[in-house]
This record gives sequence, C-alpha cells and structure tokens, in this order.
Amino acid sequence: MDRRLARALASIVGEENVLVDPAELLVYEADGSLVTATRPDVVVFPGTAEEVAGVMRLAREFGVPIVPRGSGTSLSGGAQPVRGGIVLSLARMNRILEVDLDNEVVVVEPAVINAWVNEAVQRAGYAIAIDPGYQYAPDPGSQRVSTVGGNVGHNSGGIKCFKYGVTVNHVRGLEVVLPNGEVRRLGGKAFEAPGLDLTGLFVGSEGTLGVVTKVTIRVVPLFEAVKTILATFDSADAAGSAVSALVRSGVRPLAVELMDKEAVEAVESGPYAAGLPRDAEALLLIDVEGSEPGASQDAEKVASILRAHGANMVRLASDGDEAQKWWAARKQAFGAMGFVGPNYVVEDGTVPRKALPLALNRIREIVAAHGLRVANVFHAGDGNLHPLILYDERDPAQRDAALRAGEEVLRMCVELGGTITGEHGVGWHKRRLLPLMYSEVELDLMRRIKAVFDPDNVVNPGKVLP
Amino acid sequence: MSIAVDGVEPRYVFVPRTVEELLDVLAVVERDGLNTLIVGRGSKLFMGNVPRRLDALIVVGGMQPAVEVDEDELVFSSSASTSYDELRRELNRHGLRWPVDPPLARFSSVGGIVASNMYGPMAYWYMTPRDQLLRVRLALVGGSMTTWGAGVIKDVAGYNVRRLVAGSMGVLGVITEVKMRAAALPEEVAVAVLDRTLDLRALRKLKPVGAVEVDGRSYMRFEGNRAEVEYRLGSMGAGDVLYGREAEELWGDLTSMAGLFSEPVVLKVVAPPANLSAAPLPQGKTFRVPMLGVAYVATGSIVGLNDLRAWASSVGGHVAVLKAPPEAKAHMDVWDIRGNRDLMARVKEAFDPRGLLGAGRYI
Ligand SMILES: Cc1cc2nc3c(=O)[nH]c(=O)nc-3n(C[C@H](O)[C@H](O)[C@H](O)COP(=O)(O)OP(=O)(O)OC[C@H]3O[C@@H](n4cnc5c(N)ncnc54)[C@H](O)[C@@H]3O)c2cc1C
Repeated sequence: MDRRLARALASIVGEENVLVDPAELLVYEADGSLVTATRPDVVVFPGTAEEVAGVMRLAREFGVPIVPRGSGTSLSGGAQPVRGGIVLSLARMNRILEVDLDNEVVVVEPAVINAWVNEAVQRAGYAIAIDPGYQYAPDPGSQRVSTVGGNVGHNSGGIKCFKYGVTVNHVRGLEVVLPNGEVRRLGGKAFEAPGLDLTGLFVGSEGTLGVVTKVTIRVVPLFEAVKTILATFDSADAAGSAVSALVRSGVRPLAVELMDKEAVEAVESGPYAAGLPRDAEALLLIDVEGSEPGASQDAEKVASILRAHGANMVRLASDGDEAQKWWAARKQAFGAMGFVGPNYVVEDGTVPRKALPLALNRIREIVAAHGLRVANVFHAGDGNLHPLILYDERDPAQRDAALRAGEEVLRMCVELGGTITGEHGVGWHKRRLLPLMYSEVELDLMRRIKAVFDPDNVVNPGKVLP
Repeated sequence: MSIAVDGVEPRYVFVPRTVEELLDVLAVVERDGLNTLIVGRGSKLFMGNVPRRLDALIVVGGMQPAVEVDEDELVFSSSASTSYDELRRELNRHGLRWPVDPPLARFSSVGGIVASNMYGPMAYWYMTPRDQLLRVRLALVGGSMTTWGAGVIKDVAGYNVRRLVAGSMGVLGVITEVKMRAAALPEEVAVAVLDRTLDLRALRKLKPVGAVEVDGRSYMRFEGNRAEVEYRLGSMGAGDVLYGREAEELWGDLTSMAGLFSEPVVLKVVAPPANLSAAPLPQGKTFRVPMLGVAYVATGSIVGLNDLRAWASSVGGHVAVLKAPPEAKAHMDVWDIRGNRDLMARVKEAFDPRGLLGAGRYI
C-alpha cells in the first residue's frame, strides 16, 4: 500500500479513522455472502460529506478503487473490495437528522440502522400523538444490523414490501458525493422532483455511481389493527398455489411469507423457536391490516381462501405477542440455518408467482443433483425465492457445488420469466449472469450511465456490470 | 396531417402503425439527424418548453393497441398506444384496475401517462406510474429496441433504467410497451364529500386512499372491504357519500381536471405537504391534493409565477408550468428544474448521443 495515500487519508479524516493494520483489515475482506474474501489496502471512516468528498478526490488522484460500506451484510459481494483499494465505511455517519412527521419523512445519515428509524418514528409519534403513528416499511431480514445507506445501495426489500414496495419506493431524496468529489442533492421532502429520476437511478446502483451521505425517506401511517395468519400445507407447491389464489382475490396482504420444512426445523432448533409446526411440509405466514373490523374481514377471507386451497391448518394469532413470536422466528431463519448445516449459499431469484410451485420443485431437483440439501424461506407474495443451499466449507468441493447449484437456480428463474436478483443485488457474484437478462445494447447503455457519474471507474469497480 | 407544437410546425409527421415501422422511422431520424418529438394521443402536446428545433413528429398513438392481462400475477402489459379508457375497460372485465387517476386520463394513452409520470390523488397509496412500472420496452434513436426489467414484482438486476424512462417525456426513446402492477377491484368504493376543507392531520387520520380539495370542498376516496369502508366513513361523521359506480364517476370527473386544463395557463405546485397551505397561489381555479403536497392552479396568465417559484424553492418544492401560451413560455424553463441539469443532460446523452429527441422541450 502506498504510504502516501494512508497519510493523505489521515489528513482528511484524522489518523484515528484510518485502518491499515492487516489484522484489522481482516474484518473488511468479505461481506454477508461470506463465500469469497479479498483484502482492502486501507479502511477509512469519514464523518461528513465533505470528508467523503476528500476521500473520493484522493482515490481518483491515486487511481485506487473505493468500496462504500454500510454494515457489510450484502449477500452479493457488493461490499467486498474485490480489487483492493479503499473501503469507505460510513459507520460514523449514523445520526437520525430529522423526524418530520408533518411531512411524513425522516432524514438520516447513511449508517443509521434500518430498525432505528422505526424506533425514532415511534418515539416521535408518542410525542405528537398522531394516532396510530407511522412506520418505515422496508424491513429486510437484516433490519437490526443493515444500514439505510446499504438498503439504498441494494434497493433492499423485505417482508412488508409486498404491499408497500421496496426501498426505492420510499426514498424521496438523497445527498450523494460523486466520484469527482462534488456533493449533490437529488430530490427532497416533496412528493416529486422535476426532471429525470436521478434519485431512483441511484437507489440500487450498489455504490457504483457515488456515495450516499444523506437519505430522506418517507414513512407511512400505521393502521389500527394487524392480523397474523399461520397456515400449514402438505407441500410447498400447494402453499405456492394458495398464494396465487390469495393475491388474485383482491385482499392486499401486508406480507406473505413461505417457509418449508427444513427452514422450520432450523428455526425451531434455535433460540427463536416459536412453536411453529415441525411436521408440515410448508407453512405460510400472512399479515393483513386495516381498521379492526376491516382487518378482521380480510383475515376471515384469507383463512377461507387458504382452506379452499389445501391448507391443513389455519390459525389466527391469538394476540400481538404470539404474532410477534412467529415473525421473529421467520426473521431469524437465515441465522438459524447453522442448526441444520454449517454453511449456506443463499440465492435471490424471482419468478412470476404462478411459477412458484414449479420453481420450488426445480430447486429441489437441482440442489439434489449436486448432492446437497436446501431450505426455503422466502417472500412468496412477490415470487422472490431464497433457497438456502447448505454445505460444509471444510470440504471445498461442497462449496463449489453449492455455488454451481445456485447459479443453475438463477438460470432457471430467468427461464421462467423472472430475474437473477429480487433484492440482494447483482454485486460481484452475479455480474456474470447479467447478460442472461440484458442484451449487449442494453449493457452498453448501462455502462454509459455508469460513465456519466464515474468515468474513471473509481467507485465499486467490478460490481453490477459484467 | 398538420400538428403545430407551441406554434412550431414540423416538416414531417410520422404515424407508424407497427413497432417495425417505428424502428424504421427511428433509423431515418438518426440517418437524417431529425430533431424529433414523440406524441402519444396528443393530450399533453402543450406541455414542455417551446421547441428549439422541430423537424419531425412521431405519433405513437396510431399504433395498434394491445392489452394482455394476467390475473394470477396481478399485472398487465399494454402497448403504449392503448388509450387509458380502453385499458380500464379491459382490466375491469378481469376484475382488475390500474390504480392511477392522473389529470387528463380520459384523453391519454398508456404510454403518455407513463412517459409523463402523471399521477393523481390515489398516488398517496398506490404511488406513481414510475413506481408501478415493472418492465418497459423502449425504442432508441437509430432503431434498436431495448427492454428494461424482467416484469416481475421485484427485480434489482442492473441499473433501474425503468425509473429514468418513466417521466422522461419522450427524450430518451419511444416507449412501445409497458408492464405494470395492477390491483384487484375493491369490494367497495366510496367518495365522501364535505363542504369544508380539513386540517392535514385530521384528514390523514381519516385514512382516505386519496383526497382532493376543490372550491372549498373536500372529496375523500375510501376503498377496501365493506367493513373497512364503513368504518372509515363512520369515523368521518357528517357529509354526503357516493358509492360504487357513482363514486367512480365523480372521482373520474374530478381527477381528470378537464375544466381546469381548458384554461390558458395551468401551474402545478409541488411542496412538502405541510407547507402547501402557505403557498401564495395566484387567483384562479385550484385543485389541491393536500396529502401529496400538490396543487394545480388554472389562471389567465403567468403573472406572479416568479414569486410563487421563489416561495416553492424556499421550502424545497417547485412550480411547473404545465400549460401556457408559447410567448409566455419562451424565456423560462417550464419544468423548474434547478439542480443537476448537467447530470440529466448527460444521462440523456447516453440514450440519445446526438440529442435528437425532445428538441429542448424537457432537458
Ligand atoms: C441475515 C440476513 C438477512 C437479510 N435479509 C434481507 C432481506 O430480507 N431483504 C434484502 O433485500 N436483503 C437482505 N439481506 C441483505 C443485506 O442485508 C441488504 O442488502 C442490506 O441492505 C445491506 O446493508 P448494509 O448496511 O449491510 O450494506 P453493505 O453490505 O455494507 O453494502 C451494500 C451495498 O451498498 C453499497 N453501499 C453501502 N453504503 C453505501 C452508501 N452510503 N453509498 C453508496 N453505496 C453504499 C455497498 O458498496 C454495497 O454495494 C440480508 C442479509 C443478511 C445477512
């Protein structure tokens, strides 16, 4: 590593905010995907947009790549420094700047943890007594650790996104630092900004266009009542078909999640065991919301549709505590995989909803052909699959087989009319697959868009585009 | 066929009937370097800056309309040329709808609505066409066809070009087909009419799907299952209520804003919602969407625009001049784009390197 670079970085952010010790750099070698590792040369922790801008200018001057990083929970290698260089951690920029419920927005620095937003909104809601308050809807499974900036980077989804949309549908404005060091404001608190939607372009650009230093997000009003319904099925296909019937019926559920037997087994073996039925081949967890009478009518309708479509058991959560226990179990499903297999590769393809039964069967076949096991826990309402392909990293052949199986699953998703990534991003691991979805003309256009912002390919090179 | 845009007559008007013909036309546009504007059904032809140069118009509204509805997925595909009304009828036959209520809907094509990203009061719940767009087919100058998005509900593969195309006013390419999220027809629809306006917090508490203020009256739309709608209406207290078809008709008439758009000048004011009530709006017909912080004002002239824009800028909003006589528009940016024009221009260049589309109307 060029010592001059470290010194120059220290002059911008202060010596205490620069890491060069190889032992400390180790943490930044990988992200949540944990399948590959590459060491950065240096990690910096700027505290302001101006410091970010200074780091960006230096990187250009020294010709070294910059990889923006929130909490590093990316599941696509998005936060991995695949070409070394500078990891720019936003960790110090973690303040909630404004909770403006009059305008139904919250302004945050990028490293604010997703779940903090809801806590802040709740507190503010008590103070000015807007009954029943507000929520920030995008809720990735990682919401207790991932940052709003990282969510913006990957345009993350979550459980409630079935009704409310994903991160991009909640971002009103951004402050970004471009690779040339300019600080720009895109959008703001108003519902609409004039001109091309640069805010929307930035969301999901995976840190390849610039660094996000401030985010204005919209919050949505809560309803008086939420009803949670649990249903079990004899097969994952049957559960998948029931989901299609449900969506067609006109009910707008808040969330529709599916877990198969392997996934239930994993969570029920861990600390978040919620008494979910271990004997069912698949279960659905569904939330509906509204006024008390409105939500109750929807819940009854959901229950009768599920029964008519093969559910063995349909239960309404007896109270909020029980519902919360079920949801906590669902949200810990990835983490609980350790109870059934040491390591996993998680894929993130999406298929049209009605292809879910077929896709689930194909996933089992593909993974079995590689001699591995799979657990499924996913956003069924969106057709967004998350097969967790289990392997043991002590056997390198197993890891490679898991990666190959994952790739086959994604190819299958595209064949069924879907995509290689519904919410985790293309990152590093899937960029080779992007040509499955886009022609050379289209890829070339995306490269030109990248060049508008980052002509020297400084920010997060090697990501998204093949 | 002769169509003038802000008084400027193009030399050529192309009316392709098929996508193939359109691609041929776009090849000619590139070959001959024609400064070109794209028109759908022409309902928004008055929108935009006065064209700097205008060689050709491409009228997409003449192409074959086509709609494909997928009830299981709750999505539909539509050719850009399909009229809003045709689409609505087709979706209704399947028990579905496109949950948007933009101005001039009844005179618009689907492509025109997406290209302008026009939205109405229901956007508070259902968001804008830009948010509902799952896939778009975009023909580029030179004649190549591109497709953006897999067409499934969640798809983050590659840059989100869909969002750039929605609202691009035809300056990136020609939208030929869109795939959008649909919604099921609700069990109940009701529009409540109050003879006064409500404080923003009080209004939000009633949880309408959308709300409008016209002539000192409030119109609130409720929808969902019967129990839900009755509950909401019950918490509102007094007021007239229309249900079902009558409610839809009233809502359609209101939100289409045909009367307002027949005036010579139409301004669209966008501000953070809590600021909107302080807007120094000029005298004229107004249509307010308080929950979105949007107001439309129809007036006789653009007098007072500068003050209004200065106010909007001070609160982080903007004022677009949607309609005005060409002489009034000649020396301003009707869109009120203040920052990041350079980036927008360069993004446009990535799609249209020679700058042949739009002729200065937008970016
Ligand atoms: C257990 C678990 C469950 C998960 N569940 C979900 C889920 O339900 N839904 C879902 O969508 N994802 C999920 N994820 C994936 C991951 O949590 C999300 O992608 C998350 O948004 C990443 O946030 P982060 O702060 O960790 O960002 P990082 O991983 O640090 O970065 C993510 C990407 O954004 C870029 N980036 C980060 N900060 C900035 C910034 N300020 N400016 C510009 N670019 C930036 C990075 O370069 C990288 O490309 C899960 C991950 C785990 C480990």
